[in-house]
Amino acid sequence: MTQRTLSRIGLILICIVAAILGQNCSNDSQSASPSSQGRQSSHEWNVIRSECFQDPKLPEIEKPASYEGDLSGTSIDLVTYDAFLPPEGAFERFTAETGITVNLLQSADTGTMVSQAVLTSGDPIADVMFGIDNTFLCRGLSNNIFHPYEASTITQLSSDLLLDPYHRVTPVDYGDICVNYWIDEVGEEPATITQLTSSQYEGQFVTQNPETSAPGMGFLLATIAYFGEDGWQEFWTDLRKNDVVIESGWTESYYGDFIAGGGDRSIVTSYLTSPIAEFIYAPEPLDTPPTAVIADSCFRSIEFVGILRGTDKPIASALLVDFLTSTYFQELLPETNFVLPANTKAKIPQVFQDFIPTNIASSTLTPEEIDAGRDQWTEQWTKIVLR
Amino acid sequence: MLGEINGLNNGLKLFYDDESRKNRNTTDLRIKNTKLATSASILLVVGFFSIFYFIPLGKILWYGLSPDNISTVFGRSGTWKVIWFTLWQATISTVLSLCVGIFISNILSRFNFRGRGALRVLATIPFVMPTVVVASAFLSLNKIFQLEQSIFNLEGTPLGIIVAHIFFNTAIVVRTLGGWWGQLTVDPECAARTLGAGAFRTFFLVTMPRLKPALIAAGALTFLFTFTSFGIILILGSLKQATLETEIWRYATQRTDINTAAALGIAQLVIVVLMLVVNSRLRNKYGTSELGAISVAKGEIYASRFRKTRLYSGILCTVIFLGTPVGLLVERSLRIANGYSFTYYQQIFTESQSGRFSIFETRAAIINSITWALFAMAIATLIGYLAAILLSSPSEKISKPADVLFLLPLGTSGVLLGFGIIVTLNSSFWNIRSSWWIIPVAQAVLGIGLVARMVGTALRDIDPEIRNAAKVLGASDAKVWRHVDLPIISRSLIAGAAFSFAIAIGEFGATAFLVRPQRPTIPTTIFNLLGRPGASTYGQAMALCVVLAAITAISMSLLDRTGSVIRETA
Amino acid sequence: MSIAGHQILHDVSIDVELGAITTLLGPSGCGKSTLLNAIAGLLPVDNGNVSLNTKNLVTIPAHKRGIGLMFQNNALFPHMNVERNVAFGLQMQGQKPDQYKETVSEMLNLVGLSGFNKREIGTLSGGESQRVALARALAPSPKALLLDEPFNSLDRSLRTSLLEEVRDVLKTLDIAAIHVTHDWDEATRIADNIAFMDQGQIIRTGSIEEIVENPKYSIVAELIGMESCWTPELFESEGITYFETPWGRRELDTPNPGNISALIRPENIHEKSDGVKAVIQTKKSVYGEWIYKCRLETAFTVFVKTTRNYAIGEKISLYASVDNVELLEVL
Repeated sequence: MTQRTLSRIGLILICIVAAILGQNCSNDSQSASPSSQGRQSSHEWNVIRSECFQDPKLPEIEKPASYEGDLSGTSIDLVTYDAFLPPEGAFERFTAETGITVNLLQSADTGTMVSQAVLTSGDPIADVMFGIDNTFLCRGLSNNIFHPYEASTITQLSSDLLLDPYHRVTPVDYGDICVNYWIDEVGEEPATITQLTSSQYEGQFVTQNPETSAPGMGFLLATIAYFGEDGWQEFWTDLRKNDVVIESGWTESYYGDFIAGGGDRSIVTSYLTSPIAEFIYAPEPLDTPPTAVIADSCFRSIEFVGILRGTDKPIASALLVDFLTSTYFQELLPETNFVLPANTKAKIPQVFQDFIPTNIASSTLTPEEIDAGRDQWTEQWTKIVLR
Repeated sequence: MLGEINGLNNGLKLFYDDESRKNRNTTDLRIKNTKLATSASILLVVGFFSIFYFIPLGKILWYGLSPDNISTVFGRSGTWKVIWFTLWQATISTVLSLCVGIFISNILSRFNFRGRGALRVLATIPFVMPTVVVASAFLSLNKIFQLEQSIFNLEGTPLGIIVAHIFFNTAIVVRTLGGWWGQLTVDPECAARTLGAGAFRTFFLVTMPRLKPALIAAGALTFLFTFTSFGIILILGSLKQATLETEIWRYATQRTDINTAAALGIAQLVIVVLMLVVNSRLRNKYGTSELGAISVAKGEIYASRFRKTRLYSGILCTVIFLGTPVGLLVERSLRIANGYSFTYYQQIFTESQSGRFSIFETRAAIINSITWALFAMAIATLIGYLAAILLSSPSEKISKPADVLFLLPLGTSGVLLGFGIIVTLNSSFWNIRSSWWIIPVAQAVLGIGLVARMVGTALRDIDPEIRNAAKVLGASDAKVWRHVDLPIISRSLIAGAAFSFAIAIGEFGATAFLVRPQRPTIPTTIFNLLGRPGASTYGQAMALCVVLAAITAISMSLLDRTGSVIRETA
Repeated sequence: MSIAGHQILHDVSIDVELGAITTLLGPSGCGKSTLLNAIAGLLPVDNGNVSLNTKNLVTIPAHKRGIGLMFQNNALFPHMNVERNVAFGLQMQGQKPDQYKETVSEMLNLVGLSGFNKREIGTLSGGESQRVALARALAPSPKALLLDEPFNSLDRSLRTSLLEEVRDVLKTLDIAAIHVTHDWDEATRIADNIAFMDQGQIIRTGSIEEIVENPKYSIVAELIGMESCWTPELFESEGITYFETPWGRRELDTPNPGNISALIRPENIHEKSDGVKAVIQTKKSVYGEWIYKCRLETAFTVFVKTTRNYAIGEKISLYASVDNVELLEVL
């Protein structure tokens, strides 16, 4: 009996290995093509992790002077992270202008989307990617997933946001990750991030795990930027002593622990625009937002759009990048996705003008710093806060 | 020729002994056609599984297969800790899910009471609730009952993970056990009682051993689900408690370290294959019983003086355990600033009236979800039926590997399979990785194993004699299939279809890690609603969850109407 | 006696002596099995009384009553072999394998299955299964044994021989037994006393002879196979109640008898040339005698017992005395 079982297990394992081997053959045939750059051995994947702003030595996409009618009927794929909400009717307008239809694809979170793009580098899952942010930017750039293109709108875009000198990505929006508090419940309103460790706010703060949550990562980076490489650990040690709660995701913390969802904590890591969302989506109309942000707790998060290398529709993709950074599209972003436009000419909706605080001091780190420090920081953070 | 005679005259049956029973297969008139059908099914099923499962998974696991990488990953003590915790929590969760499942099945299968139907549906709903919602509900309970500082803290502890796993998998255990148990007579229990065994000894010495086939089947599925559980571990374990699945996710998506993720995926696959081989052996030894409708025993049941007390306390415990998270959900979907109302339900069904509330196309999401789930169901049922032919094949060379292979997808990391599909079905192959129908196909891959096992059991139990009887009465092969096979397996087919529908509508596994056309479904909309601030969006998410639960409840009660599918093979 | 709040059995009282076998006979659904389950303790009794040697059993749970039960479909434990099945009761009393081994072999010997110890349940024939079930029920030496139609699923000849074996075994061990059946033939082969049950009530008890002599009730007559029963139409003239038979008027002693049924036994009908003409409808042979079902000219059906052989459809003429028409009560 035992022997039969063993032989059966063996048979199955052989089947699996055979399937894998069979697949490898097709791999090898592919590896001759230029698309498998960045792969170092026949089957091992190595993600390149530094020097992201190097010349990719790829020619920029040039739009021909006249493409009128040529692109009519073309369809291109735009991939975004799952939480992106397309403004109603926006892409129909693009189709009306250019004849190109946009097929919107969604991935999971930003990290997953970037990993998928890295895995399919050169033979991309879509033509254009929307929403890679400055925390993942280097991973994308150093793995060579984008094709350079200088958007026609580039002069209108905020120069602070133009991080890549080779135009592989174009900034499309920005938003800050900030510590929010419920004004009526917090007692004395906290003025600075350092107060979070004071006994006054003991048991009041809830934030997220940077390994599983983008705002969690943003706040960790904010503390690293604020306190420096040497000071942030101490701050988190104090936070832990002050009974901070760590959730795995934004939803669990905002709707579970924070007052908003019936929890009992009055301070939470969320976004700069969250107070406005609370204002707009209040069940009963309000006069002012019920929440506010701590001005110096913010981390600047920038989202980019980029043409994926290997696309067979470079011109149409270029047109889409122009459209996504145009004032028309940019003005639609705040109300649907609660981010601020990268295009300085775009008008910000009244409610944003009314309630976005003007005294925000966002800190940030360069994409290279983030990429280099990320794994090590999260591991240290885990030791300090969770274990 | 014996078979034919026998088909004509059932009265001769007495003269058949075991020997002639064995010979029956060789005299089966259908044997040639069976062979043809088997080869065709093998081709189709293997083709489907290769394209959508084996090749994608193989390709992604290949990244982890270099000796250097393997020795690095498995050289870390952390890896072994993760493997140990994964096995530990899956085993404990499975055992406890079985215990709770036995407790609830006992009430459902051994008592006839008012509201039994409702309790049955309640026991099924957790299975399809989105993990993010369930985990949130448990986190809320943790806060409501102030368990954080007690030993019953559910957050960041193994206890929380296990309790949530039990909550989820009760449905599977109850569905598998309930059908089987209701069909067992109570006479052996009565006999044990009159022979001097008390309630406990009767249960452990007589009832439990007779439940073995169902326990084995339910245990295998529960183990697969808990072994690869993702959302629950991530949210309730908050990464203090990492398993293979969450580590694969972390390395593959957050660190883009595919090599490590793939190495962990290999470990996961090896364990799952071993488990399924053991399971297959046990199934061959003790017979099988699969998921299906819950039946209740007919006639009066032996009783003690505590019968009523036992029934009512049992119902109470079940309702408290399964009902509290569900109830909390309903409560949240109805709660507005001051009191309760159906506002959120109105909002999700009336799209963007004022432009202020429902920015999400919730109605479209409901329609999309149902359409995709129906597609997934159709694929899973069709391929599952063909797979069932292989499972019930008289040749052990076919049936035994099939037994293991079809359930593999349930024990496979969704991240790796999703990524595998993306890298495999690329432009050099057949660029379908982001077409809309890859979603129902990926969902179907999970459902096929369930359908195959359920239908396979039914197929195996069809007595070849009745097919022969139909033949000698003048039915062609096609007619035999239409009038004999199909009616007999139809209940299992329907049950299998209902489960693959439930899996698809709850969107388990790989689909979350595919690139998909942005068409809203109920789970993605719930996820998106929960991803933004504002009291209305939260309420709408909860209302949508209730809608999802209601759809499941309806599909499952339809299943219960079609009756039971469990048959004894022994 | 009421069970789960419902009055199911009324005025049920049976006394069973040590070593005596009482058969409970009744149509399906009359409450026989319910009564057995109540005695065994498998159904709780809300009010009523079950006692053994004057000891009240009602509050004692099934497993402590020491009453054995044999089931319709043997109810053997499919996951245990013969030996472990038979030993189960002994094991429950705390005996270890070396203690019960001998008893098990003894029991198997008693039911004619020596050497079956290690056989699996699935390999047994129907008769063997019931023998194992008997051995299992008897092994823990119960004070009483209940048999709930245990031989129903077996074919006739096997059933007959097993019944006799069971009777012998029970007599050897000298235990009280209650046997339930709906089959008169089965009852006559095993019973010392018979109790008839209908709609939750014991309606008639007695020895086999007493019952045959005077069935008293129409339902009892039917159960014991007396088929020549009919419901007569009653007339009254000059203060005398009567009904008509093919052989004349039968007068009743009492003026208002209520519901009654009339019976004329086959052995009381004779061939007589000037009798009433009849046509043979069916025939069956019992130990060299023929029983004919005959249809009389008056559209009346009777059974006739004779040694003479007739073909179906043949005409004969029959006579019976109206004094031999018995009257039975209808319940």
